[in-house]
Amino acid sequence: MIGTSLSGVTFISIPGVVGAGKGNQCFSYMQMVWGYLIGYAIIANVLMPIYYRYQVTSIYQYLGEKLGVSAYKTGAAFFLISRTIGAAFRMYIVALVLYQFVFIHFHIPFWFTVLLSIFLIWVYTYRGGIKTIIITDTFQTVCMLASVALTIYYLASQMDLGIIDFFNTIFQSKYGKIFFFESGWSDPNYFYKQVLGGMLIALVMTGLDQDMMQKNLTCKTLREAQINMFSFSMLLFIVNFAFLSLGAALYLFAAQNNIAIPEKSDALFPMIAFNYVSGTASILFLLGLTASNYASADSALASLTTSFCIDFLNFESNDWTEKQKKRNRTLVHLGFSFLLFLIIVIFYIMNDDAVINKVFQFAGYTYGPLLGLFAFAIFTKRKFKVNILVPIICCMAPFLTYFIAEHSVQWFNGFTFGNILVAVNGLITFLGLLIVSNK
Amino acid sequence: MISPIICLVFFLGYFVLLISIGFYTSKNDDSNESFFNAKKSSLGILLHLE
Repeated sequence: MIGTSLSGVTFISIPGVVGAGKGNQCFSYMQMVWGYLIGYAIIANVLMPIYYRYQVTSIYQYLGEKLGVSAYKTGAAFFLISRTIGAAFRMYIVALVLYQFVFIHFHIPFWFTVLLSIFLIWVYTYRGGIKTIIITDTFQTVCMLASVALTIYYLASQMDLGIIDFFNTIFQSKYGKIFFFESGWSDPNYFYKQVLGGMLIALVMTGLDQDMMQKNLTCKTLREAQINMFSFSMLLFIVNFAFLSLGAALYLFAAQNNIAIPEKSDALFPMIAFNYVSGTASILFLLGLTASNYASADSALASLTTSFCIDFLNFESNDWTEKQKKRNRTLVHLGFSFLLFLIIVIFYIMNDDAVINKVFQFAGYTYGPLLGLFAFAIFTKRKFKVNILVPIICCMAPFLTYFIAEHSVQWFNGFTFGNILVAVNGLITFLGLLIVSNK
Repeated sequence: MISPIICLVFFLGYFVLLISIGFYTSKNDDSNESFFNAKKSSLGILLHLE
């Protein structure tokens, strides 16, 4: 789960935002991590008991049980959209770094770098079973965490600091501020806004995500799944702290060595790793980045294929032969691989902001209807009069949310929603469902 | 600045190691399932882990 949660986004963007002076500046991201912990607690105590009580295979089957087929299919469809966008963003970051610092020197085009990334996932996952997946993902997660720890150690030694002095220096610097209470709701780093945003992001991107939740549902009992979630939360807290420390160290190292900070915060870590430190540190970065990306991308690609096969092609109930199923599964997998390739290339053409903010922005639009659907299933006992209205409402909600978000500064005296946008989206969906249903 | 060739060697070396681990483990993998089958559902994973 750690390997799946921490992708190229965490590896590059989180250290980069520490000194960028925008959202998540300094150690304010830790406020969001506190929110994650609250979100995980809600998942363990509210969502998991529901999933275990209904003995679901796909978590969206719960929507089918409570609200009917249209809600089930709509939920699964929004999962596919969310995962496709999320996976594409994550792979985009890594492909871009590999392209700019490695492949461009061999005159290899960007699209080929992306194609190679997807092909390599195919190669190492194609033949193995679940044991293989667990071992390769564990190996990749260990590589990533070792890379972060060794890079911190390396930077500390370059600044002639022991590890305790290193952390003292960070927290005495301008980057060491964790809590932002004084600025108010219009500030993206405001404490309550960050905690609330973190809680919502954890709730939707883990609790309502089939790829993440099915890892928990493999536990034999609810108790085991809850313990797994608790240990995951604690580890994630420590790891995020390490990533932020790394970010502060990178900015301090840049200041000490008169290195100009790049315009895009995502570029800081790769720039320093490839241009201003020893070969060992560069290799550590490369391996850490690769490991973080592939540990989450392989799982995402497979979950997209399998969710489509199970939830839309009804693999468990149709009468196809094994040969037909294998052929169709391969075709679906090829289709999703091509879709990811296409989205990544489009991102490359149009990208202009820090990638992490885009991921959260998109998460707000695609996970919102899922939040609304699950809230409606949990808190009400209403039934729909016309089933076709469910997907229509779920599709309209993100557009309405976008419209509100675009005008929020003007309408609400400078206020921007940030990560809370997912709640607005969910609320619009919930209210829409309330209107088209009856007791 | 590190040479791009060294980066490429380590990048590909990492995948050789990963693919080797994958193939070695798949030989001893009693689930004997393809990646897609194993990942198709939480129930599938449950059965294999048991």
